[in-house]
Amino acid sequence: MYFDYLSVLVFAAVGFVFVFANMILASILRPKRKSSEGLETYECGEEAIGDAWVQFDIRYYTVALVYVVFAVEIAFLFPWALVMKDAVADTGAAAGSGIGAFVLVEGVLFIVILFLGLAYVWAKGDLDWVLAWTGSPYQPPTQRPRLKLPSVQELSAEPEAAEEAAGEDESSGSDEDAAA
Amino acid sequence: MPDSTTLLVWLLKAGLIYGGMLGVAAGMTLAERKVSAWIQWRIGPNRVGPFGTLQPIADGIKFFFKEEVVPRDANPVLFRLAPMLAAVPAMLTVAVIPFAGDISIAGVQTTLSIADIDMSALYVVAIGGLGVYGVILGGWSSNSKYSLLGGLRASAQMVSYELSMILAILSIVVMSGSLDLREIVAGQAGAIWQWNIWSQPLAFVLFLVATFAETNRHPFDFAECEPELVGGFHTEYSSMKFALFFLGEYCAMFVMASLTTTFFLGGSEVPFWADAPWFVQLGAFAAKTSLFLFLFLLVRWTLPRFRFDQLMAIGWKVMLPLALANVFLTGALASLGVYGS
Repeated sequence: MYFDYLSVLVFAAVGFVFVFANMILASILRPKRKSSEGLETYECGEEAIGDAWVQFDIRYYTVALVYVVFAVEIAFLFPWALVMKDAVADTGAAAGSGIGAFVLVEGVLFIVILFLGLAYVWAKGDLDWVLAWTGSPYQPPTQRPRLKLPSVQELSAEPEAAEEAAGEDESSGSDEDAAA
Repeated sequence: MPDSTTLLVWLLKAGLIYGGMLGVAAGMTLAERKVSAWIQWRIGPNRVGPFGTLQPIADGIKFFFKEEVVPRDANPVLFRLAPMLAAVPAMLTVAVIPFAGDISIAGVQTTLSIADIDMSALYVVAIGGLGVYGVILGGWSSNSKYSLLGGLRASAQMVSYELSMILAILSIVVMSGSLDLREIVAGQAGAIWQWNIWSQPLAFVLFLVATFAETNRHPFDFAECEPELVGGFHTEYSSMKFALFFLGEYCAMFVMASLTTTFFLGGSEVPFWADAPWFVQLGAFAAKTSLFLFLFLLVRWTLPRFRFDQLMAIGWKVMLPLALANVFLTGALASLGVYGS
C-alpha cells in the first residue's frame, strides 16, 4: 500500500524530470540571438510604460479569501461523506432512524453553516463583479470653450447674422461645459 | 518492498499511461485544428504526413528550435518555474485513474493504473488545486500588463469553479461510500442505468461545466481572451516554455475528460458485460473519454465567450448553491438507505 503512495512520488519526479529535460534540450538546440529590443516587455509594439507589478483590483483577493474558507470547510465534509453509507448500513438501514439520522443532522448542520457563509458574502456584495458607482459623479476638468465653425447655411446667409449665430453657439457651448 | 517483477510491471504501466497521455495531448492539438477546420468549412493541416497526421510531431520539433525570450523585466526564477508548475500537476492526476480493471502482466495481477491508492478521489482534488499556481505565477512573473490581467482572471476563475467541482465529487463519494476511484467505478458496473450520470444528473452538469472552467477552455477562456489580452498569462512565453503551458492545458483536458468518465460514465465498465477482458474495458474507457474530448472541441468552436462578471456570477451564485444543495440532497437520500450498503 505504501508502495502505491511512493509510486505517486516517483511519478511526480519522473514528470518533473521529463519537463526539465525538455527545457534543457531546447536550450541546447535553439539559437541565441538576443537583441535589446527582443527583451522588452510586449506592449503592442510600443515601448512599455511603467511596471506591471502594480496594485491590482482588491476583489481578486476577496475571491481568493472566500475560496480558501470554502475549500477548507469542504475538506471537512469528505470524512462525513465517506462514512455516511457505512453508518446507515451498520444500523440495518432503518429509514430515518438511528445513526443514519444522526449523521444526516451532523452533515446538514455543517452544510447550513456553509450556506450561511455564502449568504453573508452574497449579502455583503462581494460576489457582485459590476459595482454601482456610489461616489460623486464624474467631473471632467473644465475646458476652454471650443470655437464652433459656422455651417454652410450660416455662411451663405448675411455675414453679420452668421457672426451672431456663431457667437450664440459658442456661448451656449460654454454654458453646457460649465453645467457638466 | 515489492519484488523486481512487480517493479518492472509498474514501470511498464507507468510508461504506457504516461506515453499514452502525451500521445492523446499531441493528438488533441491536431484534432483541435482539424475539427475547427471542419466546423469552419476549411481543410485544416494536410501537408505533414497523410491527412496532416504528423503535424503534432512537426510542431513539437519546431518548439525545440525556436529562440526563447525571457523579458528583461521579468522575475527570472518564477518565470522559468511557472511552465513546469503548469505542466506537471496536470500530468500527475493521471496516476490514479483506473483505465481498465484487472489485468495480468507477467503473472502479476494488477489494475491498469499507476497508483492504486485508496483515497484517490481526495488525491484528484488535491492535485487539481495545484494547477492554479502555474497560471498565477506565469502571469505575475512576466511583468507584462496582459499577463498579469490574464493570470488574475484565470486564477479567480479556477478557484471559483473548483468549489463546485469538489462538491460534485463529494456527492459521488456519498453515494458510493468510498474515496477509491476503482470502487466508484465498480459501483457503476452492470447495466447502463447503473452509471452515476442517471442518479446524479445535477452533479454531472456541474462537474462538466467546472471542467471547462478548470481547463480554461471556451466559453471560459478568460486566461487568454485573445481580443482583449493578446495571449493572456502566457503572452511573454515562447519556445519550449510556451509548449509546456500548451502541453499542460491539453493534458488537463484529457485528465478532466477521464475523470468525468470515471465519476459519471462508469469508467472502464462495459455495459452488460461484467467480466470483459482488459482491452475491451480500455476500449470502452477510451470511447467514453473521447466523447468528452470531442465535446471540448465542439464547444470551443461553436459558443461565444462569457463576460467576466457573468463568469463570476454563474460560479458563485448559481453553481455553488446548486452544488451545496445537491450534496445535502444526496446525504438525505443516503441516510434513508436509498443507495444500499
